[in-house]
Amino acid sequence: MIRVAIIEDDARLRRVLTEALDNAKDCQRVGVFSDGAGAIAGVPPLTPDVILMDINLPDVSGVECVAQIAPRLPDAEILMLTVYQDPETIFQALAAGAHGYLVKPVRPERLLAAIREIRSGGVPMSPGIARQVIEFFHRAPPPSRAAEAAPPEVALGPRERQVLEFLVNGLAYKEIADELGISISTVATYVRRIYEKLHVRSRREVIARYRNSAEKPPS
Amino acid sequence: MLPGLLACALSMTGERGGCDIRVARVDIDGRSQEVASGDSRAPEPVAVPSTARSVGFHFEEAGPGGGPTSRLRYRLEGHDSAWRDLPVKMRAIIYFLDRRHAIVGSTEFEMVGESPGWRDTIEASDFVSRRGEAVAPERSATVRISFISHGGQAGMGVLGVDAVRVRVQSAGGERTRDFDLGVSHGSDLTHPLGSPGQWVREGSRGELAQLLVRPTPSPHPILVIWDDDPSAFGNWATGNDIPMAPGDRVTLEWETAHTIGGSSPGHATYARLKPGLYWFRVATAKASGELTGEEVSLPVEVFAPLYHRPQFWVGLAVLAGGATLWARQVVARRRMQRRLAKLEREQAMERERARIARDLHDDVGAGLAEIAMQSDWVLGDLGQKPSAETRGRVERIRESATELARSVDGIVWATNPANDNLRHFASYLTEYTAKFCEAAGLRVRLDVPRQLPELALAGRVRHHFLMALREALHNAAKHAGPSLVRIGILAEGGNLRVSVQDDGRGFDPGAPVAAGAHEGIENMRRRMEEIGGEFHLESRPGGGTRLEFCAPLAHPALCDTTPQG
Repeated sequence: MIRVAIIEDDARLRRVLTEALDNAKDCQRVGVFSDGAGAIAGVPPLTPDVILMDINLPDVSGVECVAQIAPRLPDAEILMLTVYQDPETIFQALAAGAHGYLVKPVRPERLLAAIREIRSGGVPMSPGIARQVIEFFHRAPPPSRAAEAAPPEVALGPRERQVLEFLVNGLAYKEIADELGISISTVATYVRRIYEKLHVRSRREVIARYRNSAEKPPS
Repeated sequence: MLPGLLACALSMTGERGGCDIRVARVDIDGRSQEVASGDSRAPEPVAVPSTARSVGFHFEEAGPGGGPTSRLRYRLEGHDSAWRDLPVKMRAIIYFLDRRHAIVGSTEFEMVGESPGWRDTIEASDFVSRRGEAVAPERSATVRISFISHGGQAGMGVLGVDAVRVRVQSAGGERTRDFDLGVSHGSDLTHPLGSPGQWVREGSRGELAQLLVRPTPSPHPILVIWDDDPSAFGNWATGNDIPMAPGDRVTLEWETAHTIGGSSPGHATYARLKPGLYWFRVATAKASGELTGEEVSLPVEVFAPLYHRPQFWVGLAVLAGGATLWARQVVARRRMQRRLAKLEREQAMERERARIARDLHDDVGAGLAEIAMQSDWVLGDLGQKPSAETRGRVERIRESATELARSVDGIVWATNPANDNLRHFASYLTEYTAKFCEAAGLRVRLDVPRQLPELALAGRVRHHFLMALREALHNAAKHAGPSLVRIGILAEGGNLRVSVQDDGRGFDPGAPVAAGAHEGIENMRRRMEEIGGEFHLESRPGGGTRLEFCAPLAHPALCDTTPQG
């Protein structure tokens, strides 16, 4: 049984999502939230397996919500829901700890399929997101960490880079698998690893940035 | 105190009673100006414009008896380095006489002011040599030499004459006679009124012609004219005329020391005075030029023209600087106001766009998403019960709603001012293409530079490019039946270039088609034209189709900072 939490501010979509989950035999709806603040407080105790998170919330942004919830639920998969197909925002959510996103309107069976897929290790990555992931890893590390070599857990491996390049060029998982002579699930594993490193790296970056500003002399 | 009597310093000895000299008037370029009366201790300066060509001073003396009694000397302090004298002359004259002693001709040699070696007195002065020549006219029989004080009134001064010699040379030059006319014999030669053998006193007051013992080189008597009477004259003349013939050349040589000046009324003219403050001083003097201590002075200020005064330039510079600053400020303020107004308009526009985008997203988008999702449930609920027709209708509702939701998404994206840059545009375009191709079961290859320049891209340009790309993708999926779609995005030379290439069936662009068949192509062309761009199409049957959209990143009509044309 996949335990699912829903965070969606639009009442109509909340109803549709709720119905979809309630009708799925392998999914269990553990909580429904209509705002970010409520979700940040209420979701972690529920320990859901998958969180469906609207990217545009009225109070706290979806990205901020992910950043708050993801560290406290390291085993949960966060799927962003967005009508607004803006790679920039979606990337921010992914960097903050999300593993995938769905563009609304999403058909109920596609929604359930995505939930099952992400639970079994498959994560999607679009060309636009892949682009930004490459850009992110190419970016110079924060000044305070410049002296330290990038720890292996946050540096991309050669295969991961290859996969990213293929994704940027628009290749589907199947095509990448064919190109590299590996299975589609291996491609998905690479992508998942890329996401993990993105999370670690971006969290380090946030911490470093915070530390930098805290260490600044008062003048 | 009389007008014009400005300052009068009485001699310390008090020999003279009253203050007798005054500057009567000042002529500026010939125009007389009464000298303003005023406090003698702080007289008001006479104002002279620097453009004046000449400044003349008229001064006069009225002694206790009513007429002039003294020689007057003047100087313009600030211009003259020494006292100056009125241009009064004493003369050496060569007279030619006929046999009956009537004058048939004369030549005069003038002596003016102070001789170069003059030192207060004749005894102390160095003498200078003078020389004059004359040719005897017709009927000349004898020649007479005369040294004479000023013939008219007002002449005053002291003239010493020594070593007078005359040479008479015949016209052919074959005969030369020299006559030494020095004071060598006579009676009482050490007395001023003694009688030298070769010279006689003449004039309205003959006693003005005197003798004096000159101490150098050895004491010897010399001729002197001592004219201390402004209203009289006197002279020394040769007593025995020297015989000669017409055509003879007469050369007169003499040594002299003199100081010669005039008395009231006096006039002095100065040309083109430089700007500044001057004092015009007039003093009474003895015949010898020695000042008697009575003096009047008049301040004169020559005003620099504005452009000669530093204050003028400083003022002008300050004024010009101020005006420039002011003008700049005005211009800058106007520009700032325009910019602010423009910014405000833009911000208002952006706020409006953001609001529209939000409303579209929140209301229309979410509503359509719900319709689409609800349609799915309806389809699920219906199961196999209804006819295929009913199912088809519901499916079309779902498809339409989904398609509309995607359109709304595109419009929202294009409307949102946050996306007005090239990077967001490329990102969205690739994302859209990838999603479209995934849904259509097409493979896609994206050719987009890893690094795109940070360039602004107006909403209109984004919108038309996005709509054109959608059209292109739809056309490809619908008509070409390709397996692969290639998308290229390139920004170069201020242009944005987007290409869409498929490996589908292709067609002959030149072949005649039914009306409306190429409506999509015309749409794409129109969109590019609207943003000042171009649209190219290459296709051949069996060879796929390649479309290219190209338009300036900043369209002139959209960007008022770019000149038209």
